[in-house]
Amino acid sequence: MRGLAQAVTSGLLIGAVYGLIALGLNIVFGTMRVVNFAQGTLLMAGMFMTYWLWELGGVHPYISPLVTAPLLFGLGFAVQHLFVSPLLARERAREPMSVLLLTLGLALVLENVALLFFSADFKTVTTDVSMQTFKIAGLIVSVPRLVGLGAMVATSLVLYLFFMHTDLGRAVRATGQDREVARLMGINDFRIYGVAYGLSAAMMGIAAAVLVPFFYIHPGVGTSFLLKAFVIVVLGGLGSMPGAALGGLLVGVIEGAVALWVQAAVAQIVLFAVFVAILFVRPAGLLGVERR
Amino acid sequence: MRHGMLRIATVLGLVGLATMWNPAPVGAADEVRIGVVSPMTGPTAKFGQAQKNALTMAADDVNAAGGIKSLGGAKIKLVFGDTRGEADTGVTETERLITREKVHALIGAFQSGVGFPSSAMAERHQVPWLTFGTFDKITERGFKYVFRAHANDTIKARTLIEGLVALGKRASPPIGSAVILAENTEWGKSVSDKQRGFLERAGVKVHFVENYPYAAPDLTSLIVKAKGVKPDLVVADSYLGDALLITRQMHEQELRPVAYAAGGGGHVQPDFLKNMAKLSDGILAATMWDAAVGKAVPWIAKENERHVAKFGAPFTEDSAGYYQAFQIIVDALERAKTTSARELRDAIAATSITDVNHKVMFLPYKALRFDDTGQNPFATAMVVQIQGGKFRLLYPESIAEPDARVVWPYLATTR
Repeated sequence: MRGLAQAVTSGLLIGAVYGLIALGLNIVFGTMRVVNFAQGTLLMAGMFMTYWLWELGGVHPYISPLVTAPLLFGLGFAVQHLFVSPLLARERAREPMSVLLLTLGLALVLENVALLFFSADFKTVTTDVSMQTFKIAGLIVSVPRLVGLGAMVATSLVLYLFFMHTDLGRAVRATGQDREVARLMGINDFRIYGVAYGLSAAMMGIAAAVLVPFFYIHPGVGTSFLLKAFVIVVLGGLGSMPGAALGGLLVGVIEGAVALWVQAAVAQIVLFAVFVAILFVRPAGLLGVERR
Repeated sequence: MRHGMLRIATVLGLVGLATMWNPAPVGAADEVRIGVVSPMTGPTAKFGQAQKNALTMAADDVNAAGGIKSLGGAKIKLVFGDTRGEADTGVTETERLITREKVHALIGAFQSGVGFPSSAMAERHQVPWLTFGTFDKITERGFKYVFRAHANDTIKARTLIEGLVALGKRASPPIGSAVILAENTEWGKSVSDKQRGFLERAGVKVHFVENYPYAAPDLTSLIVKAKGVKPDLVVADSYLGDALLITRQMHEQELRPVAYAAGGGGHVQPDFLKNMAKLSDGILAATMWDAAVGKAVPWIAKENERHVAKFGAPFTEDSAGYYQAFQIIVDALERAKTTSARELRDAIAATSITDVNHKVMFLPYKALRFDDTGQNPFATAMVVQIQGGKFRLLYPESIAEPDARVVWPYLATTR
C-alpha cells in the first residue's frame, strides 16, 4: 500500500509537468485548430537555453524563464509569422492539414539543427534542488517535481485570468471559436495566431525550467514528452485548458499505478488504449465541448 | 515539357555511364583497401571519429613499417563509409565500398542494428567482414565471411555475473537476490534475459526482470517496485539518458543495494561519469576494453599512450575493437599473400594466436581463433568499477589491476 501511495504521488508530480506541456499544445490547438508537432522541439530548445544560462551565466533554472520565456515567445511569434501564417492565408479549411505537416517539418529541422550544434551529448544540471526530497507520512516527495506541480497550478491560474479577463485573451478565444466572425469584429486574426503560438512556446520555457533540475537535456528529449502531451490533450479535451491540466495529472497517476502493479511497458499500452477508447466514446475529451 | 524529359533522360544516362566506369584498379597488389563502416556523422558521430583515429594510427604504423611484406610492401588504404548510425545507410555504404571502392575487407559497424544488415551485404558479395558489435545473431546466420573476435552479448552477460560472484566472495555482505531493469529494445531484452539465466545458475534469486520503455520521462514506479523486494543487487541495462534517470531516481527513492551493476551501455560512457559524479561511485559494469588493461599488459599501455599523444584521448571500448579487427586483417593478409577475397577469408578463419603480445590481442584473451560461426569462442569481457570518477579493472583476475580492490556496498563512501 505504501508502494502504491508512493507511485501515485510520484505520478501526480510528473503528471503536472506533462500537463504544463499539454497546456502549451492546447493553446495552439484551441486557436488555430492545428496540432503543433513542434511543441516538443520548442521544449527542447527551452531546455538548452536553460542549460546554457546555468552553465555560462550561473542563472538558476527557476529564474531562467524570465529570459527564456520572452525569447521563446519571440521565436514562436516569428515562426508563426514567417511560416504558418502564409500557409494559413492560403488554406481555407477549418483544420488545415498543410499547417500540421509544416509543424512536423519544423520539428525535424529544429531537432537536427540542435544535433548539429549541441551534438548528441547528454547533459544534466545539478542545482541545490536536484535530487532533494522530503518525507510526508513516509512518502518520499521530490522537491523539483513538487516545484513542477506548483508551476503548473500557477501557470494555469495566470492563463485563466488572461483568457477570461483581458481583451487580448478574449480576442484569442474569439478567434478560436470563429476566425471569420472574429475578423469581422475587427480582430487581426493573424496577429492573434502569433500571440497564441508565442504564448505556447513561452510556456515551454517554464516547463523547461521545471524539468532541467531533474531530467537530462538532449536534442531528442522533446519526443518523450510530446507523445504524452498528445494523449493528455485528447483525454482532457482538445482546446480545453482545465482538461489539459487535469488530464496531465490523470495520465501521471495511471502511468505510475500501472507501472507499479504490472509493468512500465504495460502502462504505455494502457495509456494508449485509454486514448483510443476516449476517441471512440467521447471524441471531445473529458472536459471538451462538442463542436459542430 | 518533352524537351525537359529528354534532358533528364540524358543526365540519367550520363550518371549511369559514370557509375559503370570505375577507375579503381582491380586486384592491384600495390595497395590494400580496407573499408570502414562507421557513423561519421549523426548522433553517434563522435564514436565514429574515435574509431577513425584508432584505425588511422594503426594503418600509418603498418605503412611506415613497409606495408604488407608478403604482398611486396603493399600499402594499406582506409576507405570510410558513413552510416550516420542508420541501418539502411549502413547497407548502401557497405555496397558502395564493395562495388565502387573495391575494398578487400571491411570493418563495421559500431551499432549492432547497423552491422547486422550491413554484414549480410558483405556476405552476399563475399568480402570478409570483421564485426564490431555485440548482438549475438550477427555471427549466427551460417555466414562464411563474417567474423567477430570480441565478446557477444552472451559472453558479456556471463562475464558480468561471474565477475560479480567472484568479487562477492572477497566482499561482504554477499549477494543473494537481484532485480534487473533493462530497456525494452532488442539489446536490453536479450542481454537481461541472459543475465537472469547466469544469475539463477549462480544461485542468486532474481525477483524480477523488467523491460521498461526506452527514454521514459519517469521511472519512479519501477524503482519503488524494486525497493519493495529489497534486492542485494540491481542490474541495469540502459542507454545513457535512462542510466542517468535511473541512478538519480534510485537516490531519490533511497534504493541502495549492496551492488549496482550495469550490462554496459550508458553506464560506461564518459558522459555518465561526468554527469553523475558521486552517484556513479561503486557502479560495476561489463565492458570489452578499458585503458586500465595496460597495467597488466605493458604494450597496450604504450599503444594507448601514443594514441593519447596523437589525439588527446585514450582508446575507447569501440575504437579498441576496431583496432583489433584491423590487426586481424593485417595478420591474415601477411599469411594469405594475396588480396583475393576467398583466400583472405580462409586466412582470417585460420587465425590462431595465443601470444598476448601480438597486436590482435589489444583486447586480450587466452586465444584468438574463430569457430565455424565466425565467433571467437575464447573472447571474454571485463568487469570494471567506478571508483573516484575512474574505472578500475577488477575482473578477470588475469588482467585485473594489481592494486585494485572492489568497493562494496554501492555508495559506501557517501552513505
